[in-house]
Amino acid sequence: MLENNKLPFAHINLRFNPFGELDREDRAKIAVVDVNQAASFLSQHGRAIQFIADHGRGKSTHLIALHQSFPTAPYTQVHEGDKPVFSQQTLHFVDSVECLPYKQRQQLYRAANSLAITTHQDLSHELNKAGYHTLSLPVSLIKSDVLQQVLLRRIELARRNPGKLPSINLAATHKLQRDYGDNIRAIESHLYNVFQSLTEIGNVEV
Amino acid sequence: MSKCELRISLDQPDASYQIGDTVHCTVHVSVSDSVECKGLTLNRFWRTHGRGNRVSGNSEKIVLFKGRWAPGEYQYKHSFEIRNGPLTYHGKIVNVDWYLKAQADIPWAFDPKAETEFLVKRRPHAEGPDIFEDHEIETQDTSHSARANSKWLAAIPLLLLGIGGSMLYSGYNESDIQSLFIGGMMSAFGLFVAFKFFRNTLAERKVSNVRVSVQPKQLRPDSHCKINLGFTARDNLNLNQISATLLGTEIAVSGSGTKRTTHRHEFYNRPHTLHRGSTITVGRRVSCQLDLAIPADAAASFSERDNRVEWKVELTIDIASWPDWKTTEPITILT
Repeated sequence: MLENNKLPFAHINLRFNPFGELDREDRAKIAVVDVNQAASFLSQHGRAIQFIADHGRGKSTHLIALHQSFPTAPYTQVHEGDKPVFSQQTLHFVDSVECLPYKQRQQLYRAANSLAITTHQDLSHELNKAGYHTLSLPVSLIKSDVLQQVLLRRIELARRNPGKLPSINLAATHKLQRDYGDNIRAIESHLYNVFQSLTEIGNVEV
Repeated sequence: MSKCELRISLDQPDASYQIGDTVHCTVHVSVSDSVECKGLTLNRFWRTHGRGNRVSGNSEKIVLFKGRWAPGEYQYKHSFEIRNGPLTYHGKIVNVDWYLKAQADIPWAFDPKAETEFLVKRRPHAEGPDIFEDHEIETQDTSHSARANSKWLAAIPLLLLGIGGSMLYSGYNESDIQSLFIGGMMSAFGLFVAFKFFRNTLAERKVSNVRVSVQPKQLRPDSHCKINLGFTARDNLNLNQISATLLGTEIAVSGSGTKRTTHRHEFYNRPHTLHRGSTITVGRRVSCQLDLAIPADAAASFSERDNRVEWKVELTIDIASWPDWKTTEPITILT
């Protein structure tokens, strides 16, 4: 247990464990996502973007990053059993749209001129049928350098003072990918435990 | 464009305070060019971090300045008393820290911000009684109450076992791996729930009229909690021991909806023996008691959305060759 008499993680120049839970604002800051193409696509009428992937691959992070380009558009996080009501809007952002029953998805499509969603399953057929010009973006952190960048951004976000920080090099990143594939959530969970036990600044052994 | 930087300093170099202390802080403002400030605010609050979704509270915000800054350095002092709120806690999956956050509302520009933590520790030898008036809470004769109130709950594990068993049977006959898997999981879970539910019911075939008292329920560190446990033997039985275990657990919940995950970390586990092994003849009344010591450095209890630090006393009557009788009594460690 960290000492209650010292500032948390000060011994490794951090303010908190970089791989703990973050709020939406911080998740947007660490996203390594090129949303320019998606933002340009979405700014036109009648467009839909779907970020497709399994759990823990970064779909929500992509959606949050894209939402930064459209901050006034409503953002809805859907959970199983929810029945949100979607008002008539130029643009809607909906996370986990596959949790909505078919009829509710149709209500969403009627309410939104344009749409950005995350989903586990490919909904391009019904989006096209609803009249959208659809862009499907599979989400997966296959590139090691991109994954490393994501992890280093988390560490930088937790920085306490100027100076050195614990670092994750490419070799460590490759090992994480061998162990966990593209499941970023599992990687972050593992690194949480690693950083909880870290005693000094340097290259982190994973 | 004007550059405006903020910094917060505290009177204590180690940023460490106790409940009841006065914190003296200064917000330093450095301005490179003349700029209008619609409001320099200072907000103090606590916030959790770790495995659980972040939660904050006790937010108190004041406005230190409004107006125009010419280029230069400015200092705004502020003092406040730490009256209440959670103590600083640094655990494995739950952390609670106090923060001061300064922010300047600059029109047509990114608002400069600064944030710093300060530690809040409990005051040693706090004033006030060590033992608080408390309702005596006794678990009455559980053998009757459990059966009377929970008959309908017994259907749940039976339902799980029934459905799981059916799926296993049909999955086996049709070589359906999915049915076998789901049926197996449901049956295993049903057995687990059944054991948990019926354990005390089975144990009460050997012990009856179990009375438990744990008081007080609100305690300071380095104090004592009196535990009394008594029962009547319904049968001749060999008693391995009666024990009371003080447990401290962090509980953090991350995600939401279907992605919601509960993490647990047991940071304290200390068993104490109330009664050592003996043979009890039928009809005999057994009574035992213990002064359970609360550690001097016991973390204060904390309970907010998705982040908890909990303490409880788990009492066990360990009957040889028979399911144990168990009960759990939550307690609160005060700040």
